[in-house]
Amino acid sequence: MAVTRRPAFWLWAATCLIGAWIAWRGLDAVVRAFPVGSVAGLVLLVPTLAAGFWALRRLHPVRSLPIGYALIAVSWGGLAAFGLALPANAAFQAVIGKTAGPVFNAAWGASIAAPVDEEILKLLGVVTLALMAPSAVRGPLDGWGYGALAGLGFQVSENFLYVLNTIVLTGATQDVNAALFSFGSRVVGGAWCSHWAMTAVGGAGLGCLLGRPSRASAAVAGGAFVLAMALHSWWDSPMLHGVLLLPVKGAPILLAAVVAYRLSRRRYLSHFRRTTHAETVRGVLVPGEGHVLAYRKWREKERWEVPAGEPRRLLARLRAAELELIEDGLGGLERDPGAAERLRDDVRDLRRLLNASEGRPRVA
Amino acid sequence: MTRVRWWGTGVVALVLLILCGGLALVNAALGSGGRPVAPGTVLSAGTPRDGMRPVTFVVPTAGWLLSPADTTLTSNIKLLSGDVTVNLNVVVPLGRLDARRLWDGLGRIVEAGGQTRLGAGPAPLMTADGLTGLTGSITGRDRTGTAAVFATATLGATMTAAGPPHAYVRLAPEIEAMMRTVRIRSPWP
Repeated sequence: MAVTRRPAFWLWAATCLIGAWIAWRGLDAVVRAFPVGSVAGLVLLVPTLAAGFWALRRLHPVRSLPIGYALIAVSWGGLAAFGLALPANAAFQAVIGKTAGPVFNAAWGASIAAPVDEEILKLLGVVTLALMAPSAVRGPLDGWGYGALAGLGFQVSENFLYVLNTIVLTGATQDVNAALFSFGSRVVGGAWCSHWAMTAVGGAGLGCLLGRPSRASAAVAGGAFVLAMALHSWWDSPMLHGVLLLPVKGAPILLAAVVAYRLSRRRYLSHFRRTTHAETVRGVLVPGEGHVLAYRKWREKERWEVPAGEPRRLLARLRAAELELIEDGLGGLERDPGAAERLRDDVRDLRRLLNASEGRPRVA
Repeated sequence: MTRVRWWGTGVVALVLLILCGGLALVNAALGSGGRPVAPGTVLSAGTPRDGMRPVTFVVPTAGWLLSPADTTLTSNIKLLSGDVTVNLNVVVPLGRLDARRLWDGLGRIVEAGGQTRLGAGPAPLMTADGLTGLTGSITGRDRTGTAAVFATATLGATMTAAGPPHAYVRLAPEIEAMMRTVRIRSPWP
């Protein structure tokens, strides 16, 4: 079913538009007042967005995350989650200020309000993606990747907001230096362990639940979400305050994201090896094919050994169908029990067509 | 788990609504939450060092409320008296700071608010503590007020006060007295 025919797609589109509108209304006047600082901030931040986007997509061990789904996750984080977090955080911190007082709010307000609002908003991006494209999130590794991408989008938007805030905090006396200072402290010093890492942890847990719903996976999802909020709270807390201590403060967050990635990766690769073996025994894959499928560079290499045109297109379709067959077993929302058999038929048909063409690769 | 496309999307929309609408409703239900400030109270803002916030001022008379919703003690304090507001903002310079540059910067910040602007030609101002700064008027369509800036080598502060003309004129002496109590203690030895 086309993504646009699902209600979640329209929810995603509407929420991104609303978020962008809220953010624009809030920042428009300040951007116009400080154009040089704003442009400097954008010039610094856009390359970090591009680099982060590339790196997080490539962290999948077998195939890069599809660019369309990755863009959906990043835009949710950067527009929908960021835009809605502005009024939600303001209201939450105002409630804390009114009930607990300004002294408590100054110290702890951000570390209470931001984790609740922002982690929920960012993680809803992964849920929305899974609802509009059930095959996108089939396990913890997908959840980790799309969570990290939603967090990255949020992080870059928030860093732009901090550029503007720093210009105001420095009395609008040195706009470009303020942008550079903000970039240095928040991106060079803190980007390694910021929103992308927290939402990756929550996303990995959510991926477990969406892949195979059970009490155990629900507990893992809940635990990962609480951990993501706790890490966010730690990051925003007044403890270990100071730019120089950022690496120390960020270490547990980065460590949690790395551990979540390693566990998710191991689970994915274990399933990958089990399934390729089973499909080889079944005769759907030919011996050695699982090894080619497992490595991006081998797939690219064999592609160039096949003549351009129809044979190369057939090979690409064959590999895509095989990877789809392997990943189908991971689970996901709205799982189709007949999909595996259809994919096996597709693989057999494509292999027959490829063998009949002149571009038969060594393992096909 | 099958066919979650409708109810799943509904749950996401509901969570978004509760998170954004619910918090705004709770905040509105709590009212302004203004906390009365006793005459003579010393208010302080800025990042604490050795338990002290570096920028302070005294509220000289009764009738002022501290707005907890718009106050972040690490960077600013907002006081209300009817429709008149007073904002103290801490300025952390990245290089050498002087009052004239700070006045020009404040002019851009005030203009970004879209309702008021700073008057030209600020006059020198000296606080009771001997801190020198600049002060001048704030003008807008339905608002009038006063601004002051103070700069030291390591830290600065701006204070803006504005409100409807008739209300502001009544409180102007109190506000000017408040401005003359601003103190900046350098957070660095």
